[in-house]
Amino acid sequence: MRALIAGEIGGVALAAAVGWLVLLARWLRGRPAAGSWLAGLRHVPRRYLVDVHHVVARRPVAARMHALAAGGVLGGSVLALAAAVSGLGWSVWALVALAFGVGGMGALLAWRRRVPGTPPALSGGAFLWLPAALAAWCVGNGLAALFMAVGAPMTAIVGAVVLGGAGGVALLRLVELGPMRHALAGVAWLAGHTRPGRFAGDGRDTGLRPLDLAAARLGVLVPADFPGPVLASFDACIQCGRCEEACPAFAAGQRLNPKALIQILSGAMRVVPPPYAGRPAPMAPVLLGTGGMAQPIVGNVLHPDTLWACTTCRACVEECPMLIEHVDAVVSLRRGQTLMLGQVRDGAARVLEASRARAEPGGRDLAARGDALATLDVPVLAPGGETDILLWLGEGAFDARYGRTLRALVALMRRAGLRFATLGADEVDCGDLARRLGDEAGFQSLAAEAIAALKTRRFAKIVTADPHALHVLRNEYPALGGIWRVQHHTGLLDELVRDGRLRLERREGVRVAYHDPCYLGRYNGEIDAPRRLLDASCAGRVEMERHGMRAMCCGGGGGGPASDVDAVTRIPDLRMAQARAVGAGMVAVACPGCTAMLEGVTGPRPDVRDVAELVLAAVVA
Amino acid sequence: MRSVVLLSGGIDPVSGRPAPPAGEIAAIGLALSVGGAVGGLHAGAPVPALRQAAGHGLEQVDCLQGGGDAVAVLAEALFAAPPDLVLAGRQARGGEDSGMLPYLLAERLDWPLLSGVVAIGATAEGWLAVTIGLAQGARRPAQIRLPCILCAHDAAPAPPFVFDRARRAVLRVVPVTGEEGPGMVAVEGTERPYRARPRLIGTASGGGGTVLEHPDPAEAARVLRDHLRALGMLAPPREGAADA
Repeated sequence: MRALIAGEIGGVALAAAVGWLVLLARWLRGRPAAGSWLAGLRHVPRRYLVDVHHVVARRPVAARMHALAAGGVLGGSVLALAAAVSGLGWSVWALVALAFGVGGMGALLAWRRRVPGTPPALSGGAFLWLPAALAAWCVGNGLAALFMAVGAPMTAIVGAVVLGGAGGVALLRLVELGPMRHALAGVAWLAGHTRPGRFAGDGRDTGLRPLDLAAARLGVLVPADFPGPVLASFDACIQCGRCEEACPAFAAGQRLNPKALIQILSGAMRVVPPPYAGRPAPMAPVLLGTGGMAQPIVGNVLHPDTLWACTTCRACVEECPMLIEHVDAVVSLRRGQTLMLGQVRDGAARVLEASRARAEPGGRDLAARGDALATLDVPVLAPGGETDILLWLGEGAFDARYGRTLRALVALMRRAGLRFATLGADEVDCGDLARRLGDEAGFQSLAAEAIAALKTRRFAKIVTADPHALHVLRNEYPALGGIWRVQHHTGLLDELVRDGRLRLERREGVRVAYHDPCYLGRYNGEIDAPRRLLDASCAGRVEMERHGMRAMCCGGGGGGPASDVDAVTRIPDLRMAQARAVGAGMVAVACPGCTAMLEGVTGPRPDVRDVAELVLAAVVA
Repeated sequence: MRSVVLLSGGIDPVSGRPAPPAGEIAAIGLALSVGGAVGGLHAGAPVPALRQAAGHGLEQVDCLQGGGDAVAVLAEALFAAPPDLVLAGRQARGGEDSGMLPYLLAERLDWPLLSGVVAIGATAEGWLAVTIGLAQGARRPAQIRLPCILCAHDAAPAPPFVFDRARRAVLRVVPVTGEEGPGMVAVEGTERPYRARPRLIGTASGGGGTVLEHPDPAEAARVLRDHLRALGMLAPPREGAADA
């Protein structure tokens, strides 16, 4: 009897191992992993139990289901195999039965997820069979263990093993169809995760990696251009739909659904992919191309609009329990389209050309960048010069509206007695837009020029009011040799208030909701300083439902406005509605992009003010 | 058909940085639309803007290095291996380029020249059909005998920039010993400050306008209809139809 149980469970385990090797063979046809993929296996338990669970646990019902199902199935199976092989006594069999009982509870909760109706973000199809397969495996093997413990007749045990075996076969089939694939692919992905920084230090690793511009293939055109672990990450998607619920482009009806995108990329590796039973990207025409490791992705199985709709806000990455890097995948594909084929949207082509010819995506004269500050007489730091703070003005300085913010910031810095200067006409664009649009060559050339200009000046730190510039200067220039201390203006003002160099008096007024810029919050984890400043300057700060690390994008990032992808509604309109919903009469912002996008909302709406403007209005000394 | 695109190695007028002029990018687009072999030709040493221009669709740019008069050097190279079609930009953009160069070259080669080309059609018995772009979006078909020089309109469709093509492009240096040209001709004259002048408003079709103040609807409709007929946008009145 023990041999029968060992054979059944061992057989299914062996088949799963073979299935894993088949998947691995496909992933290995991608580019080699950066480090040793195999050595990464030692990190898997911790990454799985701590980091994955941390995200899963944000939804307690799902976490309970997964803990019971995964714990019961894994624990029961391992124990049962041990009991069957070693011939331990009835107490161990009772323990096995208990573990499978727990797994059975998990199966029940998994069934409850889609009954009475499947929530829109969850996939149907093969997923509807998952609870039954789990239940058969747990109930069959659990009963077999129970019968072993109490010494039931042989026919009963054989019957139970047959039920368990049927469940096992069903689970194996569900590996092929997708629902159970996440368990096998997840191990490979967690072992070879392309952003190990997410599991160390402050847990943030958001900068894009530089591309070797001498490589034969730049970016990704076919699945084999992705690194192996990234291919595993696509297969690891469990289609929980948390990304699509968070995606601003999806909400606005653009042709992007991050979940469908990952499923398309997973399917792109296969000639006959398993059917996808989740929501597609809104209004995206179905592309009927045939997949394969060497088949083009964009235009064949993936609609180009899907790529250009992404605002790179990382909301999907923040929500993904499998820690998949959607934005990296999008940027890799954009690099392939931009650098290898020149296939970008018309508006994006114009800003990229201006970035090349004029070092400024808007095509304006670099000498005009400081015009917004003309009346304030901000010193320009000449090569060889020295100052305390280098004020990086950024792309927003050309905008008359954002000029008000910069003037408020300069007024506050003056009031605090700081010594600062700008680069004047030597400030080129930081390259953020070019990089997000996939033009890595344009980015690297702008970055090299910016770094060279900064290196000829001496200063203690760089301060900027543009979170995009902040991210690029702080997190992406170090890989190219530019290492400076970079601070956002809200961080600087917060320091000045804390040190008593600026005294604020709270002003009564309308309710103020703070809109977190993605590149300050999710990309850099800075969500507290602006809130402290607002609490000190305005009475009645309120939080929108989506705020902090889970805030919703304004729609202005990643070259979205330049690419101008068709939509049903505008992302900033959605965000403004969220501000209205909490009764905000004013939206506080901290980014030129957010300012422009939210001010572009038509009709009666809350006012839009930068944190610096609100602080200036409240300053008393 | 073999085409040669003349590249100046331009300068962006706003930033002063090397950048191919829009007209030359449009010229590359026209050359590619014709099909066949397309090459770039530049009088001077290889400069970064040439690689950028090549990113729009040229595999090779021949750089005639060695000095001398650009027109003479280019004419000699074109005479040695005459292409069917020579394309150029229409306007200097502030670099070492000149809007006169295509005309001087045409004079030297004794080839016909058309300027402001937005599209190239088919060839028939040594004649090439082209479309000329006029002001306010008007278009005019034209025929030109091959071989010829075409100056591209800035608004002709520009082919996309592809970094991969730019980095692979071959900038081939061709040593030349050109005759010394007339050099810089000193122009007599005085420089005067800019004086604002009234804008001359005209239409491509040359029609004037009629202003009606509070017309009755039938009168307004009649004037509109006649105007559209005058422009050729409405068919002339049918025989015997009541025109009211």
